[in-house]
Amino acid sequence: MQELRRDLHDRKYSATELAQFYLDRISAFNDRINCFITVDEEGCLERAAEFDSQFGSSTTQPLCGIPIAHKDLFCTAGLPTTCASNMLKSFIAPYDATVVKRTFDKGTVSLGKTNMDEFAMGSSNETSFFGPVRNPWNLNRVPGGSSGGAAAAVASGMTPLATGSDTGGSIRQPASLCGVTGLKPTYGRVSRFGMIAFASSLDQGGPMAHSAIDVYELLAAMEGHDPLDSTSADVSKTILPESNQSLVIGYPEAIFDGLDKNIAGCIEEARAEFEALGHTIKSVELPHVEAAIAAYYVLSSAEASTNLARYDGVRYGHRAAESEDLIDMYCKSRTEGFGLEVKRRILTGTYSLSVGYFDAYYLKAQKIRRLVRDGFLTAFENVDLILAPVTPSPAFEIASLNKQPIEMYRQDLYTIPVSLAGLPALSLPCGFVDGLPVGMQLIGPHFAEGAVLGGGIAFQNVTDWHDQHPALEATLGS
Amino acid sequence: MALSQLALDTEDKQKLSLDLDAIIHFIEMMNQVDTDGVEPLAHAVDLEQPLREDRAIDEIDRGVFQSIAPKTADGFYLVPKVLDQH
Repeated sequence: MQELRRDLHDRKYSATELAQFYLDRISAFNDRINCFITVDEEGCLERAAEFDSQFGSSTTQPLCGIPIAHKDLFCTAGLPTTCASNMLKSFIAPYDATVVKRTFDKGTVSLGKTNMDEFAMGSSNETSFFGPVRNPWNLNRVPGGSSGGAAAAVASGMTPLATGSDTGGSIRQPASLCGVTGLKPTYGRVSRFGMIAFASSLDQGGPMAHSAIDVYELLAAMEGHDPLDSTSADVSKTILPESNQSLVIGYPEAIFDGLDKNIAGCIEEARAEFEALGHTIKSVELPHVEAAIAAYYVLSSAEASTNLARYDGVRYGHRAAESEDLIDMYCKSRTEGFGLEVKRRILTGTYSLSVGYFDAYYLKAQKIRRLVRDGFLTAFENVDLILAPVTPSPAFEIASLNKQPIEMYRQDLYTIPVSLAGLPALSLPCGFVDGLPVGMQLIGPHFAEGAVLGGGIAFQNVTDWHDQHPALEATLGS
Repeated sequence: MALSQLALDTEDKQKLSLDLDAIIHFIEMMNQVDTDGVEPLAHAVDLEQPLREDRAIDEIDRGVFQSIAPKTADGFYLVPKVLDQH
């Protein structure tokens, strides 16, 4: 992206030519990878032409003329926002999400909306109403989820920048499985206004791109207090990458049980790289990682079941054609509109919130959430960052786990505790296993995006994992 | 399914009830953690609620918002008859 900006500035090509380059790649490869739900060719070229006609006067915006793709849960006025669901397949939002508005104001040119798991519920992008996304490194593998379309679009060179959202790992896991860089910011760093809700105490929008420096620049365009989101934080702590030469990096070896041994090897090499950079590695313990997954499914499903109660077929979204009365209309519209995974979560959520089970499930999960968060806070008394795996294995085969919800949920073992604790974490490539990219995450204390990004940038200055791209022309033809 | 307002067919019901059994068994893993005396945590980040000035704004355009509704008439949302049914 740095190069694109320089080239646009030097007029090596116009914003229109740049937009057309990405549109051409989308039309060449998207039918097989399926990472876009909506491509806004007309809007994109119009906007690029605007920049070209005002060249010189409007190029002060930091992301002027740079293409971007928005995950299809960010509302875009005038363009469909489907959340990859039959429920919202015809929904056109009357307003832009704050993230969309802010990135637009910084000069980005939107290519369209990316595919995702339905309502962001999934770890493989197989629950989308619009069909699964395929991993550009191997089309039989999943790209991860729920921001699978965003990760695959960046990895396959269909966009240099993408927005995603992370509730239990939905930016970090697909970034890892597709070999791109993605950040889950601290809860509250990025406004949730206009971002369709899944689990409101966990949902957080964030940037995805090829490198940590690009991720930083996109975060700079997205972040900041928003009066329209009452949980958006009003903090002064900057996201500016820090170049600290002697960090203490925590290494939670105890959670490596069950980790693919080749991935463990990649993490081990990354650890050595950080030591070579002058940082100190220190063992840390992260308690209750296993129980955190269970607590996460209780809390996120409970929040989802209440958030998704709004889809009643009255004000927007799908309405069943025939119904006997109001209740019948609600039931039929919801049953037709939601896919199986969404129903599974709603039922799990309503069950754990129901009278008689509330204490045993919901309150118990909130207590575990405190223990998990406090575990991190204790660890951060002694370390600046924590280095951890993102996924237990490289990208798995399509349809290999989608009939086994528990196994699918376990894919988020390493990302969920961070989400429960509301911490920022950068997922960045650190190697390959069987020709598939794998990532690691750098986790920081609340609002320490600057330290996390600084660590990622330093690592990427001495490695080139993030510069590897799948050979789509060779495997798919152009 | 009254709380979830879902009407599942027999096939989905069978499938989901097996899944839910497995999920409930899985989440009971939480019982292995001793949480005596632990306060529940609703939000991970301790922040003060940022307040804004209490001022009325008139940004909602009924026409725009209702243009995406399945059924409306004269500025109202239309739903199946509720009265006379019970």
